[in-house]
Amino acid sequence: MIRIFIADDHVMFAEGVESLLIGEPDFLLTGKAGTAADTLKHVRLNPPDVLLLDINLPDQSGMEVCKVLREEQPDLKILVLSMFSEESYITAMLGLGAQGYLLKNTGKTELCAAIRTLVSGKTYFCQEVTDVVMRGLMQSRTASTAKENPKISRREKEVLRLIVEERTTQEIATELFISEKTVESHRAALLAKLGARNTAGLVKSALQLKLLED
Amino acid sequence: MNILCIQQLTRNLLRIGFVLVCCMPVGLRAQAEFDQPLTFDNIQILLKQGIAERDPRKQALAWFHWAHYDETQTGITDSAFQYLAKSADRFYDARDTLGYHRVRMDLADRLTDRGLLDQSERMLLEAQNYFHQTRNLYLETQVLARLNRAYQAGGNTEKALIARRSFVENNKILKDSVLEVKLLMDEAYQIFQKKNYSNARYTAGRALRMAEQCNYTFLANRARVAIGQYCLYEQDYKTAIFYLKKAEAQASRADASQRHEIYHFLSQAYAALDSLPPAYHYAIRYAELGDTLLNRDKATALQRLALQFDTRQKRVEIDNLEREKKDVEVRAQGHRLTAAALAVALCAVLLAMFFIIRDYRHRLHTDGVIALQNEELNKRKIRELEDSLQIETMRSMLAGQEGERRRIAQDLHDSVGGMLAATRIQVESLLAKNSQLADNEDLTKVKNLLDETVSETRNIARNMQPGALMEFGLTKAVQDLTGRVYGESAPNITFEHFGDCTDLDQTVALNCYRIVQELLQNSLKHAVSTEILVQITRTEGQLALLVEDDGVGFDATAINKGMGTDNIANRIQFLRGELNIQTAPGKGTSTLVTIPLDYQGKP
Repeated sequence: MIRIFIADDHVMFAEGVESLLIGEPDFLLTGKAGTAADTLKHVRLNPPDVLLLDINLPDQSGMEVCKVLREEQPDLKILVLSMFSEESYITAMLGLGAQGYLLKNTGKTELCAAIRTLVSGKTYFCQEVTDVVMRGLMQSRTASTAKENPKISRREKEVLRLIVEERTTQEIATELFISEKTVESHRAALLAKLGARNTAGLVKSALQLKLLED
Repeated sequence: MNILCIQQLTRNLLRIGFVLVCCMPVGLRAQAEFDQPLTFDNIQILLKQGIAERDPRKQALAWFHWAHYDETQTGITDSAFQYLAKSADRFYDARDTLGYHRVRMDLADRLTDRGLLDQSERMLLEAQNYFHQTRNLYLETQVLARLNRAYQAGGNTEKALIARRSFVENNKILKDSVLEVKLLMDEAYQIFQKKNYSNARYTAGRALRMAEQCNYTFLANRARVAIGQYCLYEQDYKTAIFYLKKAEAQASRADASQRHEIYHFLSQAYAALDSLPPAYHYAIRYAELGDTLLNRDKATALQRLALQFDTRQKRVEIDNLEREKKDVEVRAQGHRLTAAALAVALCAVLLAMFFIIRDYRHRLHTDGVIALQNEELNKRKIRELEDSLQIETMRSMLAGQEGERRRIAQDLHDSVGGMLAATRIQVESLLAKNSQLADNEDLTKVKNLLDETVSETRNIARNMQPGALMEFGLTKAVQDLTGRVYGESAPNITFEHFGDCTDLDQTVALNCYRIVQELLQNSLKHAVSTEILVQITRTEGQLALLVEDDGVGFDATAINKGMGTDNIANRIQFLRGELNIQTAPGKGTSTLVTIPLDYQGKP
């Protein structure tokens, strides 16, 4: 028997989920709650196997609930059921230890499959969530390969060219019609992108990577 | 959403605190009302309340705090003078003698600064008299410190000494060391003006020691700057540099005028020692800071100009009312003359005429009362017009559409979105119960339509108010923004950020987000590009936003207005930032927005 608890502040939605689960013989619904406080109270009193958790709760964020319960009940499986499909929310919830993430347009088959997958000790994410996370990973992969092939803006290239020509910050600012502070901020970005520690390092990387050749 | 709740809560708490201050016992309350600085918003709320409830006392308090806000936050001393005068007027209207003298005490201080010593002395003596009679030791001591300053400024050493002695007597009971330090600083300055530099330095040194003992960092730093200045005049440049360097290290970043002073003296001291590189360095910093200070003044002046322009029409109304008031005055004077003439004539007339006289005088009296009332009414109307004018203009400048957007987005996301999701799941449950419906084509259509509606609602809400911005900060929110652009025909977007952006003020973060959103939109809509680079760089004192594409570009001399450039420009102006666009037809567009972060504590 899989014991399930639903935390969602939309009564209609929670009831809908309930009616989807009720037909399954191996599922047992232990309760529903519309606030973070009620959820914590019920889950502590009568611990379920799986918690269906909404992020957007009226009193406290679902993130907070996830964080607290992760520490108190390490065996509890948390399946996020949310409207948010942004990478920031998804990665935050995964970072807090949720094992599954579904969007609220899910169906019965997927919901049941997700619950069973979680109970078997694996993780489950719906297709859209997987896509979002993958896209994020691709982006960060390009960022980590940036060292060998850094993406340098046209403005930074101009600044770099003038640095290699041994111009001072003030001269660069005058030539490019920008403030000295802005030159400094371009320089800071260049240092970070090229992994250099000082101007000499910048010049070295610029020549090595042939950044100034068009 | 959670942070929104917290915001609401803090706002409510502030309001409760504000109400609590209003409910304290009278003596304590009077002190707290003046000494506790208010936020700009609370000042506005108080002033509006005061006008709405016709409560001159509330108005008086609001003007008092506005004056101090202007002086401490914006450095505008002229308006502070006017506001204090207004405040004193309202306190007088409210028959609040304590408040009246309390405000006049501050007013006198500014008169002393401007060299109007006679008026200043008179105000202070009246205030001292009142506070002495009402046994308000705290305020009397404050007045004595100011009197001492005024007398010293006027060269009246004897009286200054008497005031100082009384001050010391009082302070033995009060033990207010801030006042003591301030007094010492003033004395040092007076001695300095008499060109007795070593004595001035000694007195400032006493102030410094005392301030350091009591941990008054701000006052201690002022003392250091003063000592540096006096040493400079004494031609003891090494000591001057020692103190000024220390002051520089301690000076708060926000206090531009103090750093301005420090750089000025430091460059002088180094120049006198013939060590030119540091002298030049500080001269440059002094000049730079001078420029930013000047620009700030200019911006304020421009704002004022706009305000004046807007209000011309209302001015005419005010003028008309004033003219009416003068008319009434003239008429009243006429009445008074007639009354005098009649009184002389009537004295000579027989007693039999007495009843007629009394009748006439009675009538005259009623006229006078009516005239007086009209005058009071006009005066009040003028005042209310002036006040409401300033508040409304300020508010419309500060309040944007963001609040409304947030509310709509939240409703969309939470209520409409939630209800749609609920509908969707109910349909799903219907399908689960009746398996023969599973193949029904119409029902599948309904389901698909619902899916589209849910995701469309989500998109609209997200564009209006990025929830991630409040929850996770600027860079995460922009990451979400760029992550949402994908697909075969979509350009390749790279987002990079350098430096820590987590401590940004929320208004700044929101406006920066909107700027990036708008710029990205432009690149996607108009540029036909294959690569877009979005970059956020935070360095000390500056935030740089860069959006660069390799698209069609445009003629920089003919920027058309449909591109949201107005919206961007407004936000940049609001953040005191700068916009720099590099583009040419066929060469792509590179837009750089830089925002100074020194002033961003309060936009």
